[in-house]
Amino acid sequence: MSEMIRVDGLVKRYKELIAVDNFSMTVNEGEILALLGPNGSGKSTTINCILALLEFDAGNITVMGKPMTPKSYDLKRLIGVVPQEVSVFEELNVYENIDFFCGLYIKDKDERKKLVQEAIDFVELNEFKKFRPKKLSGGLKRRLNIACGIAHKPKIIFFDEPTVAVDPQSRNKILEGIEELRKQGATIIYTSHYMEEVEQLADRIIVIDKGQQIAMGTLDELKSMIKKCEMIRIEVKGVTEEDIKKIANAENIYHVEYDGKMLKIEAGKGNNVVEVIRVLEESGYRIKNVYSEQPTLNDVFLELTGKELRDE
Amino acid sequence: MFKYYLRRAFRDREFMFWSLFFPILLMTCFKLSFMPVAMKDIDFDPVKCAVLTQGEGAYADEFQSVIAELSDEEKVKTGNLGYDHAIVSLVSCASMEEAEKMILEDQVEVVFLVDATSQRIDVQVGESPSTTSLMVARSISESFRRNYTLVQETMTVAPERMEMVMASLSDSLSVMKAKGTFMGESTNYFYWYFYSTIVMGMFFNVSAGVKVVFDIQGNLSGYGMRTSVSPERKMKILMTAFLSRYVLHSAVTFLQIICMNKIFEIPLANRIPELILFVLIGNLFAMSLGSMFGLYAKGEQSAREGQATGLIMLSVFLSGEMIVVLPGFFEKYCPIINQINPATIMNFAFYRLVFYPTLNTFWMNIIKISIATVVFLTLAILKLRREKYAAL
Repeated sequence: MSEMIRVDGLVKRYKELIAVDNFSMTVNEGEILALLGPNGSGKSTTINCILALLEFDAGNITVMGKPMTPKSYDLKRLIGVVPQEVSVFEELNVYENIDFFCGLYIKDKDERKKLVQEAIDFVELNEFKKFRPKKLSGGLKRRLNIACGIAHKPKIIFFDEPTVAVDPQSRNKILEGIEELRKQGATIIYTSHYMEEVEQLADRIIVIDKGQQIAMGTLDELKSMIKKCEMIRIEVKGVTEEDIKKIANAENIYHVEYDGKMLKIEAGKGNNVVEVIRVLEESGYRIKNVYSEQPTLNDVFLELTGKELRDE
Repeated sequence: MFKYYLRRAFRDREFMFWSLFFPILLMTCFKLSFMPVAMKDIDFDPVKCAVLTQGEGAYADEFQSVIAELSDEEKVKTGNLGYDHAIVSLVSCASMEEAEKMILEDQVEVVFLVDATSQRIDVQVGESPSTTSLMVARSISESFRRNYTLVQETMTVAPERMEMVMASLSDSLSVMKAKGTFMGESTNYFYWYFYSTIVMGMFFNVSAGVKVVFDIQGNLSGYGMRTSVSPERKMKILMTAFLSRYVLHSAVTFLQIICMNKIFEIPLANRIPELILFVLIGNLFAMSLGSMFGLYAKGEQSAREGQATGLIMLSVFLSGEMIVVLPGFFEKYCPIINQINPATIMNFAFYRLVFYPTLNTFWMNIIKISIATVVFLTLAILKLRREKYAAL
């Protein structure tokens, strides 16, 4: 896989505030790379620097091995952008909007006509072709926003929080569409603060907070970076203080809570559920239900930064 | 791209209302409101009137001579007022008591009370005067007052033209005031409202300047960002966006001018190249001013459009769009306002284009506006050329 984007030591300051702090990353051809972080963490700023929209204070950015500047028209031709806010013209209908933005890349009318129709088919807006954006629902607008960014069949596509304020059904459509684009060969950089989406889509994830790269890797690699591996919840009544201490002192157990009905146990790697159940059964407790949850990206984020992704 | 920018401008309802329909609506209101004052298209019997003066002076003498001439059928006919009979029928009257008695006996419908010292004319009527009599009487007194003030303003502002004004005034006063005088040439304030409305329509295009800036600035709008990251040259997009709006807005102004001339029967000089230049410069100025607001003002797009339109409304108001005597007032007490107010500069330019035999002042005004336009455009382009932003 060849390297599509490389960012080395990127620094962007807004007066005293450091929005991006010595940030580095690479994006490989055909992968979906997710930038995961809370609002204001520097995800969009990083993208805008890569797109040569923002001046930055230090660092080096290359796209397909060439430095990215505002005048890199040959590179810009290969890039598609889906901005965070729905950015379409209210006075133009669905078809015209897509045709207009596609026209910035494709001059040949016949080719453009074909591409616009393909984009409309892709986002399933065929029956809304003649609709102006204000007549579309939020989800349909988002799909139009995507169609405007991808109609020219870019090799690299930036999705900046494309599912903000979208209903679950439309969100799924959007995520399926992004997956389909990757299958078609596009390289995708995806920013979000929705960890479920990132877990579902991304090949690699960069966790970013306060402009700094906190961690980078596949989902499994990230989960392996934290101590907590499992959350065990057991419905059981009458557990004594002594038995709780016994469980807490067991191997791989980090934290135990009990509210009289539910025993909550944070555990590390290992065969934890079996071990805990064995202790409880030996003490004669009647276990009603047992739940085991694997760690989420939120747990990763919490452990690495000390705060939850959705704190913001 | 041009096609879509043009289509967008054409579908911009706000623009269509403020730049096209509102000025035409306003002109319709002016026509309906002021046409009676101009005394056109109304037929009536001569209004029986008397004149009583207080004090002595040119003001009272001139008013009496005007009334005398309006009561002269021959002079009215030859005075190009559009009537084939006298407008008033002058009844001799010596005192207020006699006038009141004559009103009661229906011998007189209207009495003009002229105070030569305070230069004031009051119109006295009976208990139930006819609307036409009252309207004609008020038109006469108001037109006289306006024209008389103009003579004095001309003395202050352009004394070298005074001889021409007096010659013209004596002629215009003799036929009364559908065609009065203004700065030395035969015309009237009625037209001023229309020319001012055309200028207002052009100046409403400041919002187009704001829109063009938002269309292409990546740090101002999402679609600006989209165009900024595209391989299309930014200056090409800028020129296309600007030109599409400019072409449409200029066409709209021409349409208004044609309406004004053909429907509302407001005269236009046979100076087509200058008129075209006037429209092109006026629209360019408005859009360049708008782009300055788009780039340098604070807030959302609508807020910046609001600020730009607010400034233009003030400028248009000060140019006499609603209170026609304001420019004269400023000439007298604060001439700098007229000299720097773009709407006044353009109004005078239009006015002079239509009514003045020479165009020196027209060119001077056009140059003033052009200089401002060039400055605004240069500042705007310098900022718009930037393709990287300090903040998004």
